[in-house]
Amino acid sequence: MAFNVLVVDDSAVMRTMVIKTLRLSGVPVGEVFQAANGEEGLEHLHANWVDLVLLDLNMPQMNGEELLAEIRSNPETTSVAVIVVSTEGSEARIKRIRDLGAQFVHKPFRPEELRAVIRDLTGVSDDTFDAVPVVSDGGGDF
Amino acid sequence: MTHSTQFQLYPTAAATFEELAMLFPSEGLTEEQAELPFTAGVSVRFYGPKSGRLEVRTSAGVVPAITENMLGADGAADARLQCDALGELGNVLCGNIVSSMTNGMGVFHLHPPRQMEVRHLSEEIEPNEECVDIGVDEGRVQVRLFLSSR
Repeated sequence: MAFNVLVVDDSAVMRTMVIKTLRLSGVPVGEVFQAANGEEGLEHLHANWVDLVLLDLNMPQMNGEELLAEIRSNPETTSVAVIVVSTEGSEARIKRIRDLGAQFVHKPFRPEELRAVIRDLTGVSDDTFDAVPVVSDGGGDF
Repeated sequence: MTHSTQFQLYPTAAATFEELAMLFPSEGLTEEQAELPFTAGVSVRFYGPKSGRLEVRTSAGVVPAITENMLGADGAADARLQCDALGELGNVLCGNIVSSMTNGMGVFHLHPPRQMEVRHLSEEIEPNEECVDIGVDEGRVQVRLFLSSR
């Protein structure tokens, strides 16, 4: 099974970093969709099958917390795995995110930190890691 | 400016540069670095328990290095991606600094990063502005924190 992934961040550079980490994680990746804000992210979720969402919080138009609430309130997307990747330091806001069933990774992240959360959430283990073909985008390490 | 805030600014900035941009900073500047003019800057406004803005200013050569370290060689020469990389660095830095000011208490809201025009990158420091100079192999970085309420 390959995971279709949606990466929502208003920075194209950060989206690229997240996608590179994702591709190096050993998780079998299917289609990767990108959105620059929550509204665009929601459009992708309505138009495509998505298994995993990687989501920033501070974004224009619809922020990440609002998108997460939308995802959880829609029966079609309520069980989608979500990882919030953000600089957020407010304990109260992080608790709200976790209460909505999302994992949290703090920016700046080390690639191995994000990889560990992705693998934990997708169930890809160290045992399966070597057997999983890594989808390459031709890019290198960072 | 308070001692506690000064204490937080450099280590938070240094850690962000190391982890996000993979540049290895030193506090303070060499004489050669101190003479380098700023050629790029980004400003991030924030509000919440405290309000203000954070600015990151760099000399020539720093932003391409940041971009290449964040992206790999692909796109490092692209001016649009260079702006985006500096903006994201400012955004992450601001998020971490404002959180450290209140030890995780209270919610801050950050505006999208704005590129600064070169004519606004003066050396003058405002009264409510706190500033740290960071030397990197590629040149000079300055991080400024302006608080409009404390």
